Amino acid sequence: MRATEKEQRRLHIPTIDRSYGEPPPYVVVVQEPPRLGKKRQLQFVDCPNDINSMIDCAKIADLALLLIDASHGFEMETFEFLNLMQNHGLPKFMGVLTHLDKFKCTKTDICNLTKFISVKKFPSLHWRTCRPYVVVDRFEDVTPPERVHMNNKCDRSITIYGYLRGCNLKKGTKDKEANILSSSLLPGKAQDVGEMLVKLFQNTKYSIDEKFEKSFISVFSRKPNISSDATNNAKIWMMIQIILMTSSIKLRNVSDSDEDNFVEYVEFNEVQHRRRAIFGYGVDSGDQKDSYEEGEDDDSDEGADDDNDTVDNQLSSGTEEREDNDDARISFSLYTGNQHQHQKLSKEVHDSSKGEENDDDEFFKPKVKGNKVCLDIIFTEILKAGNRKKHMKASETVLLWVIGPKLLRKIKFQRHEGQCEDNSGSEGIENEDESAVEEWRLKKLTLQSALMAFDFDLHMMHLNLLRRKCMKKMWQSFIVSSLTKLDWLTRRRLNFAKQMNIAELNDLDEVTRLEGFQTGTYLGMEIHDVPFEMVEYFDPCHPVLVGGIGLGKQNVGYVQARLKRHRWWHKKVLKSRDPIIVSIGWRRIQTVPVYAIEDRNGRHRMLKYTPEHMHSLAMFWGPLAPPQMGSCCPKFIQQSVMFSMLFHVLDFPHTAYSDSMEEAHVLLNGKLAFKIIMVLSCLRGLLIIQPK
Amino acid sequence: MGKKTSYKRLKGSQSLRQRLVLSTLASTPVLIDDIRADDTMPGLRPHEISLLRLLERICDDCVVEINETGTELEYKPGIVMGGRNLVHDCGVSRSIGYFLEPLILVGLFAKKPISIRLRGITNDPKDPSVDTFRSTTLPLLKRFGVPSEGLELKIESRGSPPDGGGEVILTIPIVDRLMAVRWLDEGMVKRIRGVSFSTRVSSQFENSMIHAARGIFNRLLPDVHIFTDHRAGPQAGKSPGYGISLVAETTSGCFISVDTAVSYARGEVDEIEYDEKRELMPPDNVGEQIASCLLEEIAKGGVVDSTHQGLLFLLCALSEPDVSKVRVGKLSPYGIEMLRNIFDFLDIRFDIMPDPSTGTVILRCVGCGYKNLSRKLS
Repeated sequence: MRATEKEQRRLHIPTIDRSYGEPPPYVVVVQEPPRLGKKRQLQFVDCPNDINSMIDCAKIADLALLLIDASHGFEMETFEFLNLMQNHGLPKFMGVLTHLDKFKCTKTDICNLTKFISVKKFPSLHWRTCRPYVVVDRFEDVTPPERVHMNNKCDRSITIYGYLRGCNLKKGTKDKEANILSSSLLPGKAQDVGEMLVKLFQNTKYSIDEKFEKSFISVFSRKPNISSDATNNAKIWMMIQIILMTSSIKLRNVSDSDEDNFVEYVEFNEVQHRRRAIFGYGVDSGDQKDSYEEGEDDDSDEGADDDNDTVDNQLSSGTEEREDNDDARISFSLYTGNQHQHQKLSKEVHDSSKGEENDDDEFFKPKVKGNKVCLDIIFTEILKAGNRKKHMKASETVLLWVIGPKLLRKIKFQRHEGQCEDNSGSEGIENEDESAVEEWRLKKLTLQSALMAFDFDLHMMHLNLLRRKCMKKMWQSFIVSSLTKLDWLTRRRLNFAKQMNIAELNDLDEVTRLEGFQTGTYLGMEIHDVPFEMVEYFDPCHPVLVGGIGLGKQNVGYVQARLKRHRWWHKKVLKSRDPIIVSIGWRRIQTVPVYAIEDRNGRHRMLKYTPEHMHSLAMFWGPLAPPQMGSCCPKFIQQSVMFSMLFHVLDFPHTAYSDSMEEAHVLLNGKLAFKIIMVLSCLRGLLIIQPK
Repeated sequence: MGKKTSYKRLKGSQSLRQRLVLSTLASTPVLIDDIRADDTMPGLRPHEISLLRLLERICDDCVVEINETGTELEYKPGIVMGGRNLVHDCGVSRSIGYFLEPLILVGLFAKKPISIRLRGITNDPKDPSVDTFRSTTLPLLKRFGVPSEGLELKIESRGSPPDGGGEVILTIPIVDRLMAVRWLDEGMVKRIRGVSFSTRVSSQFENSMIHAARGIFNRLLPDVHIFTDHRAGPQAGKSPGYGISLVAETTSGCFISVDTAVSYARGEVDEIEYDEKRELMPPDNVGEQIASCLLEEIAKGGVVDSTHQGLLFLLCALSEPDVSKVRVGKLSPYGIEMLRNIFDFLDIRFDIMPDPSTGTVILRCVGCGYKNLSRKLS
């Protein structure tokens, strides 16, 4: 029963891929609590630790690396980020434990990480594939200098550049970024410095350090005043780009960390406020382990059965963690960050590396590979233990192109050399030149069509050994069940449709591009009448995102949502007409909700306060969002942020009459963390406050 | 939030139907001025007012403002709600066919399926008749993935101009999205069907029309069936009239249709644009003429007839963001107007490619991926 359920869960409705060109670089967001991980050079640009950036990053991440300080335990940011991602479609993510060097040698971890990233398959998230967005790489103020000179606070014109992601962008699509609505696209301008620069970086013959030395561009500078000498101040701000390539890449091993830097960041972070995730007293750590695993990946086979749905136990808020719990297992020590337990942990780790797996705590069980222990990387996406090995053997080299804004100087590449015995295949590939990249891409395409034709040409794809094997395996399992046969037919139909589209579109010349700008295009956009604050307070560490809105969604109206107060993070009940900040779609808006509850007779009764443990309805004036859009309400309390509630929108603009309700269950840590909600229509009997 | 609505400004009275439909679908408020400002009868016509009333009826939150002379219209679309058992009187200045096309487009993207009773003129020479709608438009919709359940037009009673009195019940299902089509093969005509009707006149009129039409078709293909629909009593409406609707079905499932109706026009001033015919055309001539018209439509080629071009283009533009490719005969003025309006409202450009060998035109577009946002979740 359980197995079937799992299998079903793994199935996804096939969707058509409408990106025809070369795909844009995948976005990898590195999220971490304030102090974490600076010691290891594997810091990519992080998602800044403020809630707005976290929300934006959660929306754009193709892969999120959640860094967890193993010496400290889970921190709230991780969970907050998880929540955010859940609300925005749940991209792939990996948990990465850091600071493990305190109790074990971590030579190969980074190599492993690069490999895991390299073999990741990024699912197309529905929400994203139906609207275009641009993660801004480069930001320039192009206001005429004399205007700025005359009035320092005049509205500015800016140009922003970035790869177009999501779906094709039609000319005339309204973009939403802060309050900027009028944008004119400058596709012609894309052929300039910025693109050259980006291309230059993609050329992987030299390490990025060398390139930066040669380059005149100051990256990530935080100059407070941006003068209008555009070229000198051309800012490149790379969120993070990971480019998968099989070409020769000089990767340096990064695990030899430099202490100076660490100290620097410790100092920097002393100021910051760390919020440890506090776990309840007497919690069964087995539960935690299990649930965490499941929460991360539904496909995981490792999670043990557990029908216990009580979540309250998991994170009973406010209770002090108990130290010196005799029964505490290793995992518990990880959660609590107790030093004593750490020692215990490291011992255990070494024990198990010898093959004694007497610990049934699978989650924290070190993955034994030869005599090596790679405890630090919990990769969550790999379907099966069997597959896992194959992933290890991936002969794909990965170039991690990593730019951490806070540590500009430390852009490091790594290389998995002979450190892992299982990437023996990489040598041959390193010899290949740039043409291999092209070839590889072509092969990727071939692979797709091969899947369609049910014809795996083994010789064609020697570079893509791993992928092919995985596919084949998946394929066989597909054949087994008849349901998936149907699935396969759909896939084939969709693939056919895609080929048709490509054929039709290729036929057209540039002028009559019907589909607009294709995804993966490097776009330049000029935006006029931007408030000067945007330029004045521009911070290259914070992502700038340009999101397109679909037809009919540019409007505002009444939205009804079903919501529940977040039971961990928001202690107080919410009050009607207390302003909240709502993040719906790309937009964030402050609004005044009215809470209500549906009586048994179908009438909606207004509530002054939200119920403590029940769902209620909220009606507020805000941007219209498609039904089932996940949303959240961050609440700022002192410096930290809390989510007061999370909900899904069912979209109900303006007035609406009755409708059905739907609930979505949000799993966090594999447990039903809260039911979410949605929304609905229905204004019957509900008092609505006036907008504005 | 509290910003004033920004209207899209348009001029003139032309293609009001298309503009209103597109405005509703794209939720773009429109402000149209200069509506027949220089006309002897300035302002909106009764049927246009009636269409606005109809939109108001099926939408929530829809605001219509017309100035005193009727030369300026402010339309702010709302949410298409739909609903059952709606009633609308279409008036007698245009036939029900005028209202059906906008209604079906808007109705597909409503919150709830629409079932509406429309009163007025069912057949007139100007607009597509309800028979054509049933035989041709509904199958056209199915091509785009509209389910056939709940897509129905029932003719309760017929009404001819000038006094109408007809009544039809239209039910439209809702869809989540429309599929893109690739529809190039018009095929060969395999059968011809048709319906003739007569209200308040002898059923002999029908027989003569059918006889005349068959006289032409019988030389070309054997499978010709034209049904008669003689109405009497309360079902025959208030005015006498007769007419015929023909549809040719091809081997590839395309429907090409023509229709006409003959009746006394109202000799009033506000009907000045109506083609007044003192002498009504005898049924034999009507039959012959309509058969020739059908042959002409077929000769033009294309997967739809010229009256359905606009609808076809709009459906393509609303479909999923895949490439739609359709073949039509010579572009009709209505179709061209629709292409312009689609570009205006939805930013969708069609690639037009003439095919000289057949005298047809191939159009391609990438749909805008319109989704039914207000649709209730299951």
